[in-house]
Amino acid sequence: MARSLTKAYERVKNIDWEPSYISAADKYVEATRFYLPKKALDPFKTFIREYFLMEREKESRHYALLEAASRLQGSNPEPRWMEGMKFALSNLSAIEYSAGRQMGRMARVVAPMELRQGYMMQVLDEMRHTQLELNALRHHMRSWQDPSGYDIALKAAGNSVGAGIFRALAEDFSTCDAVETSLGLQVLIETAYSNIFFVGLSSAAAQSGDQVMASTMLTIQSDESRHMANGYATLMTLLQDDRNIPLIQEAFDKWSWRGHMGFEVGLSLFADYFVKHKTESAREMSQRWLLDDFYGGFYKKLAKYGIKEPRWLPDVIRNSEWASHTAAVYLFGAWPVFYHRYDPIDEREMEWFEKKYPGWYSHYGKFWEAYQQMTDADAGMLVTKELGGLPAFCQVCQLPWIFPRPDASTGSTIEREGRTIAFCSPACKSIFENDPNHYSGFKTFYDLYDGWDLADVIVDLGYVREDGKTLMAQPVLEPRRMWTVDDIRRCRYEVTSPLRKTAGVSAGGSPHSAVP
Amino acid sequence: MSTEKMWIEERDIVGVKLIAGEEAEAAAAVISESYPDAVIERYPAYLSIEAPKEVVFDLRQISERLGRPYDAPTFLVIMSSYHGRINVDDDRITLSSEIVRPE
Repeated sequence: MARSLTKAYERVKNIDWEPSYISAADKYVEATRFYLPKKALDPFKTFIREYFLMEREKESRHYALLEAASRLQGSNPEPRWMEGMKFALSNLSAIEYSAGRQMGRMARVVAPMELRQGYMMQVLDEMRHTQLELNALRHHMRSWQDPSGYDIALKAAGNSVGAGIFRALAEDFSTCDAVETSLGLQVLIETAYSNIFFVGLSSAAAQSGDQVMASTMLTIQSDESRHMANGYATLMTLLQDDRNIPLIQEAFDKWSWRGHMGFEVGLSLFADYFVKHKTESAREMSQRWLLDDFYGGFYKKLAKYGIKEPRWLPDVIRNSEWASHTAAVYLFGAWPVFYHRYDPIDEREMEWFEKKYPGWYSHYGKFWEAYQQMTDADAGMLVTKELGGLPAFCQVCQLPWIFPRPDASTGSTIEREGRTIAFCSPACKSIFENDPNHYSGFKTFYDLYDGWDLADVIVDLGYVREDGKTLMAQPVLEPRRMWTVDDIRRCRYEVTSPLRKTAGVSAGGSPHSAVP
Repeated sequence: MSTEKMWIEERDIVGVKLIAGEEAEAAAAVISESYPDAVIERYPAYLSIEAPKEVVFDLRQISERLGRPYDAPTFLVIMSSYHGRINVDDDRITLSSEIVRPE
């Protein structure tokens, strides 16, 4: 690696041409509404030769650890974390693969050579991340005491109701303007939000005894560093043309919210509810990584180019106060339709929550008391049913209608083409109304399962163990007796859309139902 | 901060998160000598280095401390994340807080 990167970069960036045999419109396939100046810069000055040497070194170091972990089998990882990774890893690998596809699209649409170069390497990075996560899944499936759930991780990323949040996010950045994809994915999701998970939670992984995941997260994020720079380089290129300012603003207004609901809410759930030995709260992590580093250290400085605070940022901040706890009510409340064992919080953690989030108990305490009482298969009580059933899901972000807090939902509905459509918040409603066709086709849980018995839903999803009847999900780590499909059937719970219409009137009145 | 409201304040702090290990410790040692204001924190799997305004990682100095050749692509192998504006050159990696638009 002895040659001069700086000199080579100066030389190579002048090698670019427009082909004579194809028109610009045919070459770029997709048009963008943004204006793209010719000049750009890649602050990393990455070339293919250095890129491969660097990535090979990363792989050598990481896979050595994976091999060592397989040989030694000595660690005693925290069950709560290992079970939570079933949900996390299945979704992560799907998001990374989708991100890789987008970089190819962007490389095609975005003209400046320096940016294309960075995007093309990011295609390879994202494929690498997908593989790293699949290898972590494989390792966990072989080493963890209960592999059930890890074995269907990819299928679950495609059909789980909770995974719908991440599918909706990936489909949104896959189908919007390719330059908007860069601003949404590279600037907001990868720069603002990915650090919280991949760096912030790497410590939690290590403390939970999951060294494989700690290493996976940090080696992934070392590529994300270049992705942040890709986003920054794209943004700085766009800022050279003032006609882009309102377009950039519009993209940031949307993606600061989409990144929050589609990604950060899930991360905060992880930080607060899948980490047993707690240190920093999700809210403190958001303050440090999102508000201090991203908004304070970067975004605010764009004001001199005419970029204003994202429209929904005050709502992001308000939501962050309670996001993890509200997401937990959903994830734990709907446990039979997931694919891991749950480890509900104990009294010591409740005290910690009350300290970190004053008022926590008054909003969430009753839910947890109800949950604790309904974990026995012989008693045959389902927490979801007893609390009034699953709520409606937001057509944009696919989160349930209980945010920011189940007792203070900001949800609403509209009527459109004979359908009632629900939104979790004014932000998601506004995003929908700006581009309804972009979001209206997404099938929610109720489009698929309205009117089904919950037991049949679980069988249809494939979330049962090898005996064909014991559920993958269990409401506690070690139940006295494992829940089966028959136990669920005995509970007589019919999935009922709160938006279902009977004779022109919404059944159940309000979509706001599953609240403690 | 648990009882305080969340807030946004413009900041000029730059920094990196390095995968914990020998190279991260060498980088931290070099930075703490050259930047008295730098804050170095160790977490279970990574090491954080932060400093006001600007920080330059001099790869020759890190190489000397490690006692072996060391270059920018190798540093990037352990650099999990950064904040600030980055610039990678042959013998140094610079992080600065200012935003500069190419003209």
